[in-house]
Amino acid sequence: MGLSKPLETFISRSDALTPYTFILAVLPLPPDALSVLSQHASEARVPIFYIHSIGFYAHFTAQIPDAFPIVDTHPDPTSTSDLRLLEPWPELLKLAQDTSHNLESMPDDDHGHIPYVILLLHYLEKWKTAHGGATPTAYKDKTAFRDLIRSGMRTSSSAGDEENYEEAISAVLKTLNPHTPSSSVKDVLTAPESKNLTSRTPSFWVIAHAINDFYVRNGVLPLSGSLPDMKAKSADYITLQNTYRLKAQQDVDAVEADVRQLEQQLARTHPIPRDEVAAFCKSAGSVKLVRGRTPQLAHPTTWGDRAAAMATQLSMPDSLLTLYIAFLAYDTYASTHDLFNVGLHRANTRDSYEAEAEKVVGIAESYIDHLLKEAGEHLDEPEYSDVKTAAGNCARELVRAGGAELHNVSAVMGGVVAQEAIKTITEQYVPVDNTCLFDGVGGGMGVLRL
Amino acid sequence: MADIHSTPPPLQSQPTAKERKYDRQLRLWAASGQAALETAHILLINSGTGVVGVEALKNLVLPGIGQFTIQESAQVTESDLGVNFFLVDEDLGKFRAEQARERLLELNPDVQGHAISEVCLRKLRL
Repeated sequence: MGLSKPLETFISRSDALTPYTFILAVLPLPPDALSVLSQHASEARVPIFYIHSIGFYAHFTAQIPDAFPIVDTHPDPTSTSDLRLLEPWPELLKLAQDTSHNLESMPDDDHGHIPYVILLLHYLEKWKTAHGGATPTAYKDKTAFRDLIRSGMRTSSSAGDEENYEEAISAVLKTLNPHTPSSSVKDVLTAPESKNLTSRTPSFWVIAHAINDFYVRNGVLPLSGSLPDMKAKSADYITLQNTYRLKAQQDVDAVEADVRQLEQQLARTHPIPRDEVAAFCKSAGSVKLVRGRTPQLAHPTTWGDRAAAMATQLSMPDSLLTLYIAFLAYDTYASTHDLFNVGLHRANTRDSYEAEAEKVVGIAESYIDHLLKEAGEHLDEPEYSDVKTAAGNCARELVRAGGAELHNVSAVMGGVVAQEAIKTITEQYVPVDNTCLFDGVGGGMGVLRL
Repeated sequence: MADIHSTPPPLQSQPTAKERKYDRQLRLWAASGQAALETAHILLINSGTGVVGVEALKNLVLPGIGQFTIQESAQVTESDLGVNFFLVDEDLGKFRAEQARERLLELNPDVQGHAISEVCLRKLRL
């Protein structure tokens, strides 16, 4: 008993938790201490990870602030490149025309070094003329458009096939897409936080508001300005690169002007650095908002809006949700008994361990029934029995471990926890949202949103 | 505005000691991410056998967080030695938080570590 008191004394002091920017809490913990930690974390907007490692099983749940925006999600560059080919701005179009107006009569060397972006723009203009101004966005049209480009490729050239044409042909499918933002970007731009600005709103939302205005005005997001590598002569590539960069800077200028105006309207005292605006504009197509939530810890009373999703998850074979429920049952049992000696302190007789295990199994099974009832779901046999057996087996293994950790299981979970903590602290990449489970018996790991 | 029309200058300066030390991870999260890590102060509330928390801290001390604090009142016992790689024989009977703190700090001298074992309170209550 003496072991848990120092924690409660420590966190009951006011300001005890204020120095910390991130909390790792290893479960099980006394319920009172847990609720203090959880409440502090959500009020102070400090991320807290709850971690379990017992026997062959491990788990962590991330409780991050309720609005956790990430600018730099490090997306796959090929999936997010925005060359603006379907809606080129006048300078880009002019550059394309200047570079490619004599395409048919060019010497082979020049012809084989026209950057593919210019080639695509050149043939797009041809296509538009032949199709009443329409662009090839349907798959069938794109195939025909590829044939159009291929018809311009010189195959007799001394250098063999023209690599720039090959690049243009292979870029058709992934670059000629409408420039509409993804739904997760729209979620950010239209979030209530970005609509209802105040003088104290975090700068992210002020910029999001300005970018939304930009989008409404222009129908496109600010240009990222990055240009992929391609076959080209150095001078041509640099000219093209500068055209993209200049346009990106002009977009940043426009967004920044809006930001300054908003700052004035809101009477904000600290101007948002231009670098921050520029970084947001550059990643505008891949920003992400994670909505953190307070997880269910021991003694769940209601599953709330999680019920339906969790019940659906239960009906899936081999779902790791049964392991999560076993951990909840274990913590509930531990918090009302001897916190760290479940399955241990009377363990010299086999009967007492089994009796304790069956109590935890009983709690886990009651959670499953409670969850299904709240969600208004019904599981047929044999699924219903299978789910209960799976949760029961997890619960028995947790009790059997007697509160002990296996170093290798803890090392795996420690690695995953640290990785996700780094994502959260740096506000880069997208962290686990919000529960990660490791099953060292079956050799499985998965993420659930609970 | 004018500088964007010139080619970027070649990398002339030698990388700093820190850039060399953290070279690989800076490619993942850049100087901004590193700065965020270096201002972080992570509290570990440890319980039970307390291995997974220390393992997680190890992976945060190595890339260079600013500070960590371990809150744990348990003392080192025989059973810790087989499972916690940050405790050794001579730690027996000492506070786990304090001993793990010292071993973790050996991994990265740029990190500050603290331990809260609540010695007095614990003794009073026992």
